[in-house]
Amino acid sequence: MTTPLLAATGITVHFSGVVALDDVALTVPEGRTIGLVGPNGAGKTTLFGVLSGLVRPRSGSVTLRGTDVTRRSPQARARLGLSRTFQRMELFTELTVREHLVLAQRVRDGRQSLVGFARDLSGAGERPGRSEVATVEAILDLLGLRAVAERPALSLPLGTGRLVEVARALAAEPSVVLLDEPSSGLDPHETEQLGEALRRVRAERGTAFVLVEHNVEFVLALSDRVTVLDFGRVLVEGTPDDVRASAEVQAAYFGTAPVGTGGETP
Amino acid sequence: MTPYIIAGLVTGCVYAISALGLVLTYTSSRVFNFAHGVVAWTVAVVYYWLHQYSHGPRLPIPVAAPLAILVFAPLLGLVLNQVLFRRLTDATPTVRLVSTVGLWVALPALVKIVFPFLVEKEIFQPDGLVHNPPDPQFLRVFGTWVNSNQFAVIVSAVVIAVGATLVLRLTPVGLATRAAVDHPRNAAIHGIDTERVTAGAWMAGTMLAGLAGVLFAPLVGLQEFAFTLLLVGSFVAVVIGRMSSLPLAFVGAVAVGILQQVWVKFQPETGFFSVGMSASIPFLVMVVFLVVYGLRSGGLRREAFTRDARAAGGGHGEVPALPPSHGWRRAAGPIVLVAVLAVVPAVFDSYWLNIFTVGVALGIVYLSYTLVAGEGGIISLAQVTFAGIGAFAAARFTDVADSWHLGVPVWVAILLAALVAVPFGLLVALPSLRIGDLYLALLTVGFALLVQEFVWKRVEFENFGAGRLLPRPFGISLDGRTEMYVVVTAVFLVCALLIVNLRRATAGLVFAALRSSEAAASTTGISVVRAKLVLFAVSAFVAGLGGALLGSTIGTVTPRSFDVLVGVVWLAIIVTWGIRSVTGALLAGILFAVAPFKIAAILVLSLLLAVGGFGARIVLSGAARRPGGLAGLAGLAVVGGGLSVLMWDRTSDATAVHIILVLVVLAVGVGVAVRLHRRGGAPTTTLPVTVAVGLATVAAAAWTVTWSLSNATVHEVPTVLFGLGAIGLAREPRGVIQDLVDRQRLRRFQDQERREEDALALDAGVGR
Ligand SMILES: Nc1ncnc2c1ncn2[C@@H]1O[C@H](COP(=O)(O)OP(=O)(O)O)[C@@H](O)[C@H]1O
Ligand SMILES: [Mg+2]
Repeated sequence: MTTPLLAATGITVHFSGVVALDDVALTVPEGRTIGLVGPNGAGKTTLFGVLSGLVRPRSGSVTLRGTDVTRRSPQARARLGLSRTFQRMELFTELTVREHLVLAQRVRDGRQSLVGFARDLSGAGERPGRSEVATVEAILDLLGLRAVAERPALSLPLGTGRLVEVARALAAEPSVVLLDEPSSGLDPHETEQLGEALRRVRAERGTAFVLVEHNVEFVLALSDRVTVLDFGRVLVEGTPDDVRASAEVQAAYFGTAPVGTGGETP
Repeated sequence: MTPYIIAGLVTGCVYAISALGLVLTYTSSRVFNFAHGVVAWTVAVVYYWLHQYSHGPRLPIPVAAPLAILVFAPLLGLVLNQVLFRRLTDATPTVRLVSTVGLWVALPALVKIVFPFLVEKEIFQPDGLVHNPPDPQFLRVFGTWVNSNQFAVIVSAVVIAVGATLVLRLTPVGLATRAAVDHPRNAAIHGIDTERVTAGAWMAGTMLAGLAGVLFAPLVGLQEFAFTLLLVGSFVAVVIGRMSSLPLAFVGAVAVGILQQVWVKFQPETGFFSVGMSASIPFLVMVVFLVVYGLRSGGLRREAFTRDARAAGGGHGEVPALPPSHGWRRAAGPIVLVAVLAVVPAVFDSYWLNIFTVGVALGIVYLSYTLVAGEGGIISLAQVTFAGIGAFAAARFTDVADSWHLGVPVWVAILLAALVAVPFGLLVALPSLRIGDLYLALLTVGFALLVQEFVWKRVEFENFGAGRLLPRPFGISLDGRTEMYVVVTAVFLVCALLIVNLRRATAGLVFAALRSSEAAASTTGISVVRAKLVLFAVSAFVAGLGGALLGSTIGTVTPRSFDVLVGVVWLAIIVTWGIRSVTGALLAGILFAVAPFKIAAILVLSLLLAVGGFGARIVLSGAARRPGGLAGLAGLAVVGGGLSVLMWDRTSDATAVHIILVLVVLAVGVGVAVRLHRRGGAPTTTLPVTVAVGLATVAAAAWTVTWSLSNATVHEVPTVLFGLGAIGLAREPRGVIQDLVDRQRLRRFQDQERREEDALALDAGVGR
């Protein structure tokens, strides 16, 4: 068996007494999409925090491409090809949509070095390169953001903001992307477009995804495997069909209602 | 030993009372009040006026004290909450900080205008809650006499501690307060009126500040500066209590006070530690606690509620940032800037040219704020210290008699001196790895005070009050005013150009990202710490360079030029003119330089601020479509212009400055009025309201101007305006002028968007 792209084992997180995660494991093989579902407060966002380096786990370890990154900074993980979106939007409010993508690209290209800084000072750092423009344009088209490309993030409607989060995460051409409820706030058409975009990115670039969603149909349709979290523990792990069938999940998460009624709004 | 402990206990108790007020207001409103010290001072002044001032009411202590502490102070807190703090709870942390710094600047100046006796003579030994000098043998404890004042302080602290505990634990009001403090959102859900709790907290907090002020005055005198020590003492206590724990803050404050006094006992007579150590202890304790807390897991991060604030509005509801200008509009600013700078030597005589040179040198220092605060969104009150480091290092490098003498040309010494500031900049920035921006701001205040007390007070620097000589570079003599102007201006332009380049390139994007979201910046791959270190290093260099050139232009470097309080005023004025604008930095520098020299010029400039800034703000922020708004503004312009002319008339030495400034006032006023007139529109509110606001502003301006011209407090007028400017414009990072321009552009931008959306909606309708 090859080493998985991203793996977390034995993750435990406490928040002043509250156990947010309890011995949770997650494995993301190259190019696969992993769904992560669970009710509000199950610990999904916290797990993303641990994977991306913003939350220090009490115990457990995270490996990225075989490297133990448990003690590495978020930016170090980003350079290793991990990117994410935020459930509570964390856009760069003053930057335009295009600038978000340009920035993500340039950071990946190491433009934050001292040499890059000197070039910036000299005024030569202003003009974007050709390949940079091409990548940015491609992502704008992929997510249908061309019309708002020159608008500052602060002025965007909520749904568009979510798409910008996704676009920024994709702009660094990562090998694995963590998506925290990307479709909340989107209308059905936009959700459709987002799903399509994710499928295309996966097909064209072989990018792996971890997808947190309340829209269960959306997750089950996109994912290769699904992990169900409840109160910080893994309840079930398996294929979408396993999860649909699992009585435990029916009871704990979906209630007795039929699958696919959508979810709570955040 | 015991007398020192008792003296320390007394200081500590005053810190504790003050710190309690600070924690209370911060936890309930999330506004950290940098003006807490001057609020305490204000109440102490009012108390002095009520009780002791020879031409005042001369009320006895039992009447005056309750009047000042229990009536005036809560009222002051209520007013401040209603007009200022209440509006800040949803603002970004930077805006909250800057606004209270504005208050820190404006309030003392205002108090000095109202009570001119403060300027006329220093008041060293005012009464506290008992008569001063106190009865030295009031009580005997462990074989030591406790005087009546010390006894009064300790009793007050005990009463406050017990009272606060009882109120918070037992009464419904206290429970509501604690609930609102712990979980503002839950409290709101449970039907607690958080607004009222917050207002109450500000009243109680100000009352505690006032009590601390009244108790502190007999210990240090009624000088405004001495109260900075009270502020820093409370800061330390608050840091020890991690902004939220009242008991920890209280105990910490008492401990710091005792430590300070006990040090006095063991202080060596000579040597390195004989100077300034006692005053530095609060800062050192603060550093220790910041490091200890910072190193524990999680560190002392950014305040948790900032995320809530962002999530609540989803970042919306604020004024959207405008897309950058293109074409000639983008070049217009720089071209005008260079043209004006080029014309200055031709228009002004050498006296004024010298003042302008000082202003441009200050502008260089202010560019360091443009970097740290404008680009980095970090409030640093240590920039003045970096400037001082540059200036003093340059002076000592060039003095043949000094042990630091380098024997290099003056310009090389100035550059090296600027480099000396860099490691200090890095040192201050380093903790930002683990602590949030509010703690960092506190740290910069502490650092600035440490250097001021521990370094600048040494004879090598202050030179018995005379300061150090610093020659001009390239052999320029003190008469060579044009040459010096050219050199300083060239340096300013180069620095400004580099900053503009930086802002437009990747680094600018990185800084913008950091200002919005450190979390997203770091997961995008940006090294937050490295970006902040670079910013601080570069800004320390720029500040050092500006400081050295400032000293070089004036010819001497004195600690007074680089006082912490001067730095606070600098921050306020740069915020007014645009924290993210290099032109703003220059204007602010020139304004600050002109301020002490030409009263009339300042008043005119102040009016420009009032008319151009506040008048336009009142009118443009909603009243724009009302004829009343127009009338109010036209009134402001006419009266402002008239007053300017009057002022010009009353000062016999009319110069080019006056003429130009009067013209600028008139142009701005008339220009905006014409603009609004063209716009037209239907009236939506009553004419009288708008006119009343306009007239009140003018009346206040006129009153201040005419009244204060006749007494010593006239220098405080611009300071008040700088402070008010910072409060009013804290949300406008590009300053008052750009604010006006942006509002116009924003409206056009929004109109266009609305049209686009309408068109889209129409399309969709047709499609269906
Ligand atoms: N920063 C934090 N401080 C304290 N508790 C937290 C914090 N973040 C999350 N929690 C708690 O951890 C639990 C898991 O939250 P979260 O990961 O956001 O769940 P989910 O994303 O699945 O809805 C919740 O009980 C939440 O209240
Ligand atoms: Mg979540």
